[in-house]
Amino acid sequence: MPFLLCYGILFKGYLIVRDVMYSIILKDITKKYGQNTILENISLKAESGRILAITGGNGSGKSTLLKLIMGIEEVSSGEIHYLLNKQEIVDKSFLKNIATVTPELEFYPQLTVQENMELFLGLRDISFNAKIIAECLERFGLKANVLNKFFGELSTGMAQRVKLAVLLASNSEIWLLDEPGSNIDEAGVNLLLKEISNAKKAGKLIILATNDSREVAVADEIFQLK
Amino acid sequence: MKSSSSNKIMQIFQKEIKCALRNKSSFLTCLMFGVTVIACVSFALQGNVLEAKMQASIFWIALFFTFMSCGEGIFADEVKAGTILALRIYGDGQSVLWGKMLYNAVFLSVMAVVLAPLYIMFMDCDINNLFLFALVLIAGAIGVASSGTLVASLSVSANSGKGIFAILMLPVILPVLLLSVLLTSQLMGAGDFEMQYLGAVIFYDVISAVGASVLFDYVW
Amino acid sequence: MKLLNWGIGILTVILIYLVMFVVPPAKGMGEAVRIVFFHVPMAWLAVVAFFMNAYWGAMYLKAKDMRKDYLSGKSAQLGMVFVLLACASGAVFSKLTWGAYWNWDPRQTTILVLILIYGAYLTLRSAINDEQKRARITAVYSLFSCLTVPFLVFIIPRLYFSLHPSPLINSGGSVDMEPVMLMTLLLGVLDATLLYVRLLLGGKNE
Repeated sequence: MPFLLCYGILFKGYLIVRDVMYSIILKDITKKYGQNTILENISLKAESGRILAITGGNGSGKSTLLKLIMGIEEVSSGEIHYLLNKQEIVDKSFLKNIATVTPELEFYPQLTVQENMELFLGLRDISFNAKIIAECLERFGLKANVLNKFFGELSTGMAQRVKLAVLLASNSEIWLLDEPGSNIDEAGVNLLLKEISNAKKAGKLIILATNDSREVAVADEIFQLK
Repeated sequence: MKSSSSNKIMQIFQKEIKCALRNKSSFLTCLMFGVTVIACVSFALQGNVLEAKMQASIFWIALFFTFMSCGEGIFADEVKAGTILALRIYGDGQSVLWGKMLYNAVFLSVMAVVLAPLYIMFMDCDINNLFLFALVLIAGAIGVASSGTLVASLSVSANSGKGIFAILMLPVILPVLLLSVLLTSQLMGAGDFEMQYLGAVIFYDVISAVGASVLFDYVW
Repeated sequence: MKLLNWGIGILTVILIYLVMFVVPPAKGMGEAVRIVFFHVPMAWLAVVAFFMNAYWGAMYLKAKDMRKDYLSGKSAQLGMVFVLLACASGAVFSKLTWGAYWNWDPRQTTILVLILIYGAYLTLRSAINDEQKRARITAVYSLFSCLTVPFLVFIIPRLYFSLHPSPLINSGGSVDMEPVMLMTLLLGVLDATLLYVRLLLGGKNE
């Protein structure tokens, strides 16, 4: 019986790998703002089904590195390659597979949580399905009644959970998380870690910029920024 | 695909409308800015009645600075609130640009149509043809919206604060400003209305909207 | 590059000689006409630099090559200098012949627009720290400001009355200038263009 289960997981893993395989390869990335060098000669690789943790102190460039991968900022030198099933994708369409939760990410405070979700999911061609959304919220410990609250009225911890729920609902294959556990309590972090592991099993590519030892512990690989 | 992209444009547009209606301060600030400029001009003139050309020039200067103060927030507010990241991650450039442009065009047109009667009342202007006057106002507002949306997206990259939007806008919007002053002065009695200049403003609106759309992919 | 330096040097000496000693004073303008040989090449370069600025900007967006951005930015800097020189020399000439420094002539108006565009472009450039972003954003602005040029060319002559001497070739299609003056003027334009190329390519970013 354990043998069968093991085989099943392997088989499932094989299917996912064969379906879609995303990889992001950074080669000798350097980022400067004027004279100020933030990142120097960074090379790394991230792949579907693996969790890459990026650690480093404040100001080590974790957030900048994620922004470079998101295509929000440009590299000063070096190359970023986005691959789908080993084929390089050169246009911006690849970026539409990326979703993120970072401390900088905010939703519209004047809109309710539901309106925010309808907007952002709608921009990704995902229609608002109450049942799926309720499930996504529940997986981060939120009740469906949060949908009718204005985003600006939520506590920071609730807001963080809503951002994570949108990430989950967006069906994105690539998760870029920057300190996702900040502002949420112990129970919330446990739910988050569970979802990260689930996402990994579902074959998502996950990059986790964090210094939280609980989050680092789930990573397959750790990249230390100086 | 076509319907999906127009759908997204409408989503952005509706979002802008909802946010503006729920947070009335931005709308009111803008309106009061316009009222203040017009009141300022009226006080300074101390009741003197100006000739048509001067009236038209001052009207458009007042309107131009009101537009500048309203228009620069279109991206700056998103940056300030931190929502620009969510918009960039989930939205595509063209939907965002056209949605915002559409909202800006409606917003500035409303502003122009609300402020114009106030100016006419204070400055004692005679308008020959109110319908054409409204057309000139709206065509001008759309011109500011179509180029202003792109320029606002550029100005948020600059770290020198707010003033840069007006600096960047003036050379770009100059054709609309000059033509609108001319057309308005004609409607206020300084000569016959020349339709081809209204056509030129509308042509500018179209060209700058298309140009902005082509160039926006490099900004987003 | 050395050859270019020598060429510009020799050409400039010849030009100064021609302008000061050979060209006759023009009717109605007197000795002041000599300013024209400085003014016209500068105005020409201001316009050339404006379009080169946009051209290199477009090339940057296409290739994302920082060298192109350097050329684009440098063109704007040179253009700003040229446009100010053209404006100043024009104002002096205007004062001497028409009695006022500024009279909203269409070409003066156009030059003011150029000053505003260059000013806005250079301000934007100075306000962005991130090199790649600066290159991208300023290129977009430069191209977008180009869109307004056809409108201004169409509008300004209709709104502002002109005293400015007609361009080299007037509406009749004939050249309304003495051959020696025309030759000197063309030589001046050539010299100035070479100077622009030299200054553009001669930076440290080569």
